[in-house]
Amino acid sequence: MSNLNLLELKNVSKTFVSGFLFKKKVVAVDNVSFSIPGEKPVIFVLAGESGSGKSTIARIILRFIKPDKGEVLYRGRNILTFNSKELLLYRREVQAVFQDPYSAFNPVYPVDHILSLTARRMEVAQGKEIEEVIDEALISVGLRPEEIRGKYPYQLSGGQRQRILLARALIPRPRLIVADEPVSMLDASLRAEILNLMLDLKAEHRVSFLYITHDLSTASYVGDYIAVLYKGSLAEVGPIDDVVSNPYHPYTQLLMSSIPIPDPSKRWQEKIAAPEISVAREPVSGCKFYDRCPLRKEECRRAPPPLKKVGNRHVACYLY
Amino acid sequence: MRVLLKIEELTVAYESDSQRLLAVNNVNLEIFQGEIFGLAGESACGKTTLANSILRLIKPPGRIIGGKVIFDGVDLLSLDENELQKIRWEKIAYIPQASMNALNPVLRIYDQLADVVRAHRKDILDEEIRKRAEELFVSVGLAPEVLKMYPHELSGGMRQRVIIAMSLILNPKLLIADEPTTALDVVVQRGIIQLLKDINKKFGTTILLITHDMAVHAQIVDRLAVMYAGKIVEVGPVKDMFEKPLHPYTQMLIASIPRAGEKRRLSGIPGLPPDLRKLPPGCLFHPRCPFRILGRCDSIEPELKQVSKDRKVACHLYDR
Repeated sequence: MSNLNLLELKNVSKTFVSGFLFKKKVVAVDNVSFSIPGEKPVIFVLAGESGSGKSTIARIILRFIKPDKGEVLYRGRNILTFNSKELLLYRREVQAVFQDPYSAFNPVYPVDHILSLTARRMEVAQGKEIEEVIDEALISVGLRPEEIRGKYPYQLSGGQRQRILLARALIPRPRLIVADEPVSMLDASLRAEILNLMLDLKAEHRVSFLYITHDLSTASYVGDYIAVLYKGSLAEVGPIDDVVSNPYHPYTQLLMSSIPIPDPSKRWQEKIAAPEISVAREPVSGCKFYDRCPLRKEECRRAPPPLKKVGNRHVACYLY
Repeated sequence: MRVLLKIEELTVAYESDSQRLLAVNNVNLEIFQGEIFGLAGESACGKTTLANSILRLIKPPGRIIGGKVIFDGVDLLSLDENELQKIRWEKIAYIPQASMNALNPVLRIYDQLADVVRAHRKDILDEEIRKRAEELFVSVGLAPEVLKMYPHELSGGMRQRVIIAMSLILNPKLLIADEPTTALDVVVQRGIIQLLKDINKKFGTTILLITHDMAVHAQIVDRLAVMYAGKIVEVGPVKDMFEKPLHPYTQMLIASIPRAGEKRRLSGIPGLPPDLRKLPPGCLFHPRCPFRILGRCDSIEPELKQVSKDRKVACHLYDR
């Protein structure tokens, strides 16, 4: 592993404990390692179903929560050891956009507020410069400042709001934007525009994205690399075009074959099995996908499969 | 083809002292017995209001201000509340959006199901209900043991199957399902799509499927209607509509959907849907339409007209 990586997770784990008398443990992230290359801007997709731990990983990277185990390296340095000054620098360089553009704004302020707040807090600009920085950011996301400034959130559509939140994230000139389901609440016609905007920002502003999503169609449209999570563990990591066209891990295969193709002449022919009926599952000590895997073998029960290099990607499966 | 449900010039308004907006604007539709009919469109286009008005579930400030909903030869809008109660669930079952989160958390699944049956069939024996429920659960891919469980013991996909089983318990002729696959993971979503198809085949239930997700429509429906700003803009067999969409809105909507593995640049739809309080004159889509004919599209409203044997479109490009 070289220091050229923009961001690297090394054996990161996080367990949440809930309940008062009967403590319940949930392993949200289980020994996850991957790296986002830093030679040139990329869109790195972190994909998984609900509850797979993808948002927990986002929160760890953004330092909202600390992992129980493991390291998060930003350009070779552990973010968990940053002092407040280093942290401010880190927060400038690693920005975030979240799922819900409807609740991210304070409804009593015009939308400029969230932009100028970021400019000031991140110490990007002062006084009159702040206005220039805001205009510049709005223009780079395809909005006309004169049409947006002074408007209140309720006067803008979801697509416009999500653009403003992307503009906000651009203000400190970040190298990486963690985008957690940024388009899942938008209509198809607006979604396409935000995805195109991500591609343009990568090309023109040289910003990398960690794009967190459950939606593999949009992921494959914008992504360069993909890491597929299943119940907190990585199943497969690699260049997205290869993973989508020829998935190795049985879980990735199931996911890819379940994406509805928007073409009535390409309907699913074969049927998939109904979900497992029994609710109580015996605790699995081996592969987490064991109980759903059509290709399982006895050895899969023994220990979790390690993430191994197979060709141009990494797969956690004993088949390889 | 026998028409099971015929909607004629249906208009639904939301009213306040000072203004009135039309959520459903002079809609005409025919749904044939035994088909799966899809209703597509983006948020706030009126899909759910249309579904709600079929069973007269519109609440103030909403009001049905005109039209007919003819089911099996009877205008549902002319029935009194008692007569309508006999149609609801027994003849037409409705699964509103996010129903799977509306199960009563403190009652076992069986008790909730039995409540439904007893509300409609006073004299039915408990054994009969149990037998019917068990058979039905097997048909929807659930073990009969699930009947003894509480909602919190079930996954999202299983709760959705429970809801579908509940909707079918009185053997309705028409099932209206509003976004039944939204908020489910792709693999689970595929299972539900397959289940709806199976029900349609096995029981001959006619299905009105409402979703914004064009890929889901492509996979399951026989015929599709596209709604925009409260109006139906195009209706036809789903295969023909995806192969050769006629209305510019349908064309642009289909062009905005990403397909896994394809990198062709997507085009969104520039602009926004109209403010329903002040509709533009002429065609409601003309402000965003690249093909608009000035002097025509901006002044004369296009009617939904037959353009071939089984296709209708509301667009001046197809005027003869």
